[in-house]
Amino acid sequence: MSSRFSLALPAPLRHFFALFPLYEYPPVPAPYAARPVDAPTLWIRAPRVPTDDVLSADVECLKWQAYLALRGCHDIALRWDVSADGALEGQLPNLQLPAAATPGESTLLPAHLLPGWADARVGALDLLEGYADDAARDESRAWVALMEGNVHAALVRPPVFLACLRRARADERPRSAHHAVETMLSPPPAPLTGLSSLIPPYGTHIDRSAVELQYKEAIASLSERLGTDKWFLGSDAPTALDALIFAYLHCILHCKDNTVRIEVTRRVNLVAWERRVQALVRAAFRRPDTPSES
Amino acid sequence: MSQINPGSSHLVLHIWPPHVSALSFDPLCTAALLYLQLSIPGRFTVAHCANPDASPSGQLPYLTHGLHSAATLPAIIKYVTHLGRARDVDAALGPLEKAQSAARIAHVQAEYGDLVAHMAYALHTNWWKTTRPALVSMLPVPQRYYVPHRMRESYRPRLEAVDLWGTPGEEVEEEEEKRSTFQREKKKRQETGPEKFKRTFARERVLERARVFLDMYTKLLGDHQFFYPHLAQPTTLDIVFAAHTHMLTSLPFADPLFTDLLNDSYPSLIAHADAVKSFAFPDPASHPPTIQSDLRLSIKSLFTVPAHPAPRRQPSSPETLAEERRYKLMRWGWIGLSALAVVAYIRWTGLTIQFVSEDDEEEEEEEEAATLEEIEEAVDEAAA
Repeated sequence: MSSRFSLALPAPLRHFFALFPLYEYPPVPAPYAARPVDAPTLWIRAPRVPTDDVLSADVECLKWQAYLALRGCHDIALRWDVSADGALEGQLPNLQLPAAATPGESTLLPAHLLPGWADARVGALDLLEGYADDAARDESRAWVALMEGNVHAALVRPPVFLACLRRARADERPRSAHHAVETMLSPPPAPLTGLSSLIPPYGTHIDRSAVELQYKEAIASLSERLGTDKWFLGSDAPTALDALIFAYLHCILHCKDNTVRIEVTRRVNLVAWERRVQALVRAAFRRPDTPSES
Repeated sequence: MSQINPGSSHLVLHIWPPHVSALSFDPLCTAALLYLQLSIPGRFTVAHCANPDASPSGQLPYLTHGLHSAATLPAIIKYVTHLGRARDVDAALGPLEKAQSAARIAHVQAEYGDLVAHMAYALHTNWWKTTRPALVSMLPVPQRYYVPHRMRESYRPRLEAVDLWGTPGEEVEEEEEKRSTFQREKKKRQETGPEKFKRTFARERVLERARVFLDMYTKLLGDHQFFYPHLAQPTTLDIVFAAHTHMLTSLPFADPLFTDLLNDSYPSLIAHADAVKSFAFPDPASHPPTIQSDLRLSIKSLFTVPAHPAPRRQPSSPETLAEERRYKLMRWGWIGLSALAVVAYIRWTGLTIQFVSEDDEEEEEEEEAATLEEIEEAVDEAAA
């Protein structure tokens, strides 16, 4: 009964279609398969001297490296051959967890989920987040705003004045909207061609002297606040603020711009503090070519 | 703008014009005005300026004092503090308090500034009904058509980076506005249920963020009048904070998102802003002399030269001056010598320039044709 109602291809059409045959091939086995990881692996941007160092050259990646190290997570592997386009949300750092931790494939965590992972590994923080008291915790927000605004703007700013026409070299190209210098200056800068001129807006007019002045005041207050304390704001143990400040200080001290670097090298307490924390942070990471310790 | 006598060093602060009851349209301009009023009362003039390109940094506020200028608030504060007979507003703070104050000022400028910018520039209703008409009334004729949009776009990267740019429902409204500009009837699109929920949720998120920030500073203020109670007078932190609160409370926003929040839950912060303002301006006569902004058409402002920072000049010593003179002499000597060489070459080789007219050209063509025929005949003869 079904054959009476089934639609069959008419013969001339079938002959016509036979002129264009369909070939099917068996699936091709891919020769490359990603090696499974056996330890949590942090994907970061390459260090300044890849053969010698484990600390990333990028401030954002270094912030998270320092955070994990100062929270007490140890024996974390690193890799820096992954480009930023391959990372979640287009931003490194990402953390790749081994398959043993979760059943099935290994998971990849974006940066904002790292505190949760650290909590699971070493224990959650209390409501004070490691600070001495409520006032210190509120003050830490102010210091974060100072660092991420004034100090980061001085770091990102290109040293040559002609480069404010925004034709930067390939390695300095702003990777995402979050890293452009316009987002770090509090009243947003005017376009280079002038706000009221008939010429269509192009470029950004960044006032070098204003950025430098704010940066110098920021470093002066930072040094004053640290004084001779072991950790910032008088905490007993390292906090997220310490990780952030360490990342910025480390990048400033290795910056090519003299005025930016000299401001910090003049302050002995900041340099000594950065050196001490550096040793702590380095100890938590494993280089990609060393064999894992059993 | 106000240089009647260039010899007299007259201190002029250029800020955005006031609007309704706000002292100026921008919170940092208000803060600069309050700071100058507390530091050097009666020694400066205020000029209302609606052209940020006149400033050396491209933004208002800026200060001119004779031939010196200082742009952006920290530079103005630093300049004024070093003037003679100026009262240092932060003088009585200890070094630790100064450091904390610097961090808190940066926090207020960043976070509170973002909230004020969200209110004025990002919220759709506020932009079209309050901020844009205000800007249009302050700007002269050609600028008022394109500068407000450019200013809004300049705030966009920063607000997008901190997730304060737009709420979903209002983006849809913006598109509707654009499409229906040329239609006679604007259809009011009814919001569907999920869209309304998303919009309310986004507003609540922004309100929560503002609440966290304002709670922090209410706790810091406590019951006192100013942030550092042992001083009994406002410091720079008070000034910057009060300037932002003043913007939120005195401008007539169509969508009073944060104004209602401040009025309902944070009366101490509003009292703080009023206290700072009345400390700076105890009576209406204490306002500094003001120069109104120029609303006439100015062709020069339409074509500003792209600004580049002035090159760092090293202090010129006699040796450098002598060396510069030597280089200048050599440079012009080289140019003169090369021009002389060109003239001498032309004279020596006897180069002349002939202007050939059209009749000569036709004759030449006929001659060429004639010679071609002769050549062909010669070839034929040779072939034969």
